[in-house]
Amino acid sequence: MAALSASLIWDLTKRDFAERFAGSALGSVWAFIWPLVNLFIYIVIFGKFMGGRLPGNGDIYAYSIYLSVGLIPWTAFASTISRSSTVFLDKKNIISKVDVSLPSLLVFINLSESITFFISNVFLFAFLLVTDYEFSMKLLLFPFIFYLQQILAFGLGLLSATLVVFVRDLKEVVGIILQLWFWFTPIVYVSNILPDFVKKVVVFSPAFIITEAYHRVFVFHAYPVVSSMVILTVIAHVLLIGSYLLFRFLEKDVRDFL
Amino acid sequence: MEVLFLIVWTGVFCSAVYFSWVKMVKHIKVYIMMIYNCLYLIGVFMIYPKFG
Repeated sequence: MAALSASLIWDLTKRDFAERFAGSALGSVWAFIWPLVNLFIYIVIFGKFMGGRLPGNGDIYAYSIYLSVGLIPWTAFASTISRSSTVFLDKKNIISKVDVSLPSLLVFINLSESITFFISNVFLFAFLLVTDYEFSMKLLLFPFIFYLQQILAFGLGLLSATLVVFVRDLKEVVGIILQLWFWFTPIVYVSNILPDFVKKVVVFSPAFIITEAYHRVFVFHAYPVVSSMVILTVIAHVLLIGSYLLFRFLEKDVRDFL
Repeated sequence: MEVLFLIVWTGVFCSAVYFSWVKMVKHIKVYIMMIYNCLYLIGVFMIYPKFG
């Protein structure tokens, strides 16, 4: 089996950015413009024009921050899973020509989405700085929550990428699941508005635990719930190991099918 | 203290990962790395709040 090559992953990541904006005059500058526009929508359209407010919080920017710290990571999470699910099919020309380690193709997607996430957060932190936001040491947990989130996305991505090779319809199913998952996660609304029976179920959703952790750290200046984070860390790694074992079991068939 | 903890904790795990990577048999390396990663994150989420 081919080794997981750092230089190959970096080349694929650079090419991913180049291909995304190929032919445009501004090129990679668009990678900065898109997050800026999205943040503008979250803060100005939702926070100011639509008057979104967080119940029990007098800060006029609280809802904008609540929305941004939920949506920016979710975008990275959902894009990672969605793009990973078809990566073996999308890159079959490379796979058939070069002896490439297939999981490294998922690593480059993870890296690419993490860079986009980082750019978005540069703008978010600039916004927080100009609005006299109260920074605390709890914010240092932010990259670790994101890291855990991307491990979960990697595990789910590897599982779906392996299965999509055999059942192509699964890529549409992944899209639908992500869409439903988004709306059952309190990202644009607060969890209190959910009916009790729905709330009892969604509290076990990994996306709920991760989003709640971001909200606690950024909006409520509290630590994430330790037990939830530990359980989720174990689940994410069990899923990752399980997905990798399944991938290794089916790797030869995956290559043959491609 | 929080920053010091994160630096020391990360350093300990980076060293463990490095030595394991060098010494270990190829086919179990990946799984051991995943277990290290899991322990690293559990440590961060459990220990870090104690400094607050």
